[in-house]
Amino acid sequence: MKKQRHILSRIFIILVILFLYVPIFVLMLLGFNESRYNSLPFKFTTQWYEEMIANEALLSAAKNSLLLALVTGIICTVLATLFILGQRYLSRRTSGLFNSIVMMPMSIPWLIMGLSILLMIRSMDFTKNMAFVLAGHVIISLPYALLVLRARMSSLDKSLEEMSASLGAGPLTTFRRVTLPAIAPAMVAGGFLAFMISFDNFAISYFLIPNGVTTLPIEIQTSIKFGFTPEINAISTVIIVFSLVILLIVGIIMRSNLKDMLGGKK
Amino acid sequence: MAKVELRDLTKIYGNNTVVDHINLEVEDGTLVSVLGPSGCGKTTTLRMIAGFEMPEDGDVLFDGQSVGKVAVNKRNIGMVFQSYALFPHMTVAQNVAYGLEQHAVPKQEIPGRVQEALEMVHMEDYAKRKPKQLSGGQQQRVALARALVIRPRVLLLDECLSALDKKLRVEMQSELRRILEETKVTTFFVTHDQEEAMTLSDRIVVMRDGIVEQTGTPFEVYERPASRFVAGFLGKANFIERDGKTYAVRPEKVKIGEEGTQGARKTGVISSLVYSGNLTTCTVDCGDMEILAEISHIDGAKRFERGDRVSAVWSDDAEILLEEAEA
Repeated sequence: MKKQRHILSRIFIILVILFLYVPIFVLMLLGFNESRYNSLPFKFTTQWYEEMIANEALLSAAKNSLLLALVTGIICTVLATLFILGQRYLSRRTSGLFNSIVMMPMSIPWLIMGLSILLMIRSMDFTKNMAFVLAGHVIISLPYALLVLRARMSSLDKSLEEMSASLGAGPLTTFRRVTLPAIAPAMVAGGFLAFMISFDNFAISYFLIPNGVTTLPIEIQTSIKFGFTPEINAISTVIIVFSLVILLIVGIIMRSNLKDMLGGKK
Repeated sequence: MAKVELRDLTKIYGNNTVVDHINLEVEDGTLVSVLGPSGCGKTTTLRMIAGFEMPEDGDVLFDGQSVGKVAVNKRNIGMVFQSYALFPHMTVAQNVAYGLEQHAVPKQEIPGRVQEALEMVHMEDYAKRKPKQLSGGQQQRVALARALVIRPRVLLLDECLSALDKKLRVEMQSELRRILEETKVTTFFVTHDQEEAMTLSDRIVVMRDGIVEQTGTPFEVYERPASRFVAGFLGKANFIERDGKTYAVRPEKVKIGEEGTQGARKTGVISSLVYSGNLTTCTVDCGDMEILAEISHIDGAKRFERGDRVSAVWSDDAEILLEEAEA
């Protein structure tokens, strides 16, 4: 009986993993398939990667997305860090209130968020420009960066900073030499999360993007309308690999820091 | 190294007075234990001396100079927390050097001072390690070296031995005593462990509910406790009520003899005997009260059994008159 249950639970786990990853695997595989219509039988080719590199619209969209996500990530990291640091000087109640307020955008559908920003731009007679796209991306990504940083900050041993003060360090030195090193990995991780949220965001960009500019999600959506080519598979594969590499790097940074903290406290 | 005075020091959180007008004078180079149950205000007192908490009333003086308005980082104190609070991203040597850098010690002097401090705590071989690679006792030593290397005027230790296991704790106690005798720094040692306070300190300050119950040498607070609370908190005591006064009698001063022994103070039945190697703790049920006696195992002494009727004997000197009978 026991052994049977053991096998069943393994099968279950495998099924869940398949459910999660089969579509992605198929997409990656078909990026190397000769058929223009993503149909079988499978014949290996790198043709679509070559076409992807030659496809300037796709590349420029990718560049826009990358740049947008990068700036969003940096802004979110800075804002989230400042927010979390400032919050420490508030009473527990005020701080809780602020928490709910800034986390709210997480529960508002992006579609509605994008629409509301668009309406605001229109009603104020502004013209669409990239600054609004960026602002929209920051609004929806910030809560995620905050989430990561808050988790780190709440486990930060306050006595480290007190110790630094007792040893003669002023507040700025303490921040630079004790607080910052302790939260830096969370800043990186939070920034990365914000980067990812921005990078694959479609709804906000779709509403706010000025004419003639595209981001990768918009470009992919458009090209599907006019006939899907495996170039999309190719660029998607590149994105997946790129994300995994970043994830790996962040994971390594976070892990070694986690060990540091555990070791320091006993 | 400084004489420390606390004058009417008071801390209030909301409508809870945590420290209530404490007055204390500590001579230069003294090791003072601040002893009390948790919540008695001892840690808050320490944090006010350090400058982490601002008092609602009163003042802290180092060598007669008020430091009430001086920020923590200008007070020149050494601090060791229970959690040690070693900087996890720095090596042992960097941890110890940190305070020297903040005190603008010339760069070329720093390695020598760090080495000296680590030698004092026998940690010179671990200079390049990270805190996470050290055991609790080793982290403790580094934390102490880091606090002492800046040659603080006052050293503040907050329950810093209580995270160690018993054997290591006893070892660190004597080590601490040696180091503090070497450096002669005025030290406040906050603890809830009465044994630790007794063995370590020159003076003990017993606190309860935000006030100082008694201050004195370990001998004084143990042999002449001022109140029932102090007598009960530092060791065990029998409380004898007579003529409206309360007397404390330490269990080790009570002798047990066969019923009818001359000079018997109380008579009763042994209700429990707890053997703990060097002595046996004996509880005698005397009807109206229980008498606790600690019997040392001197050769030839008569051994009693549970249920024996015995007499408890003690001398007049063993009775300590308590100033006030508290409930």
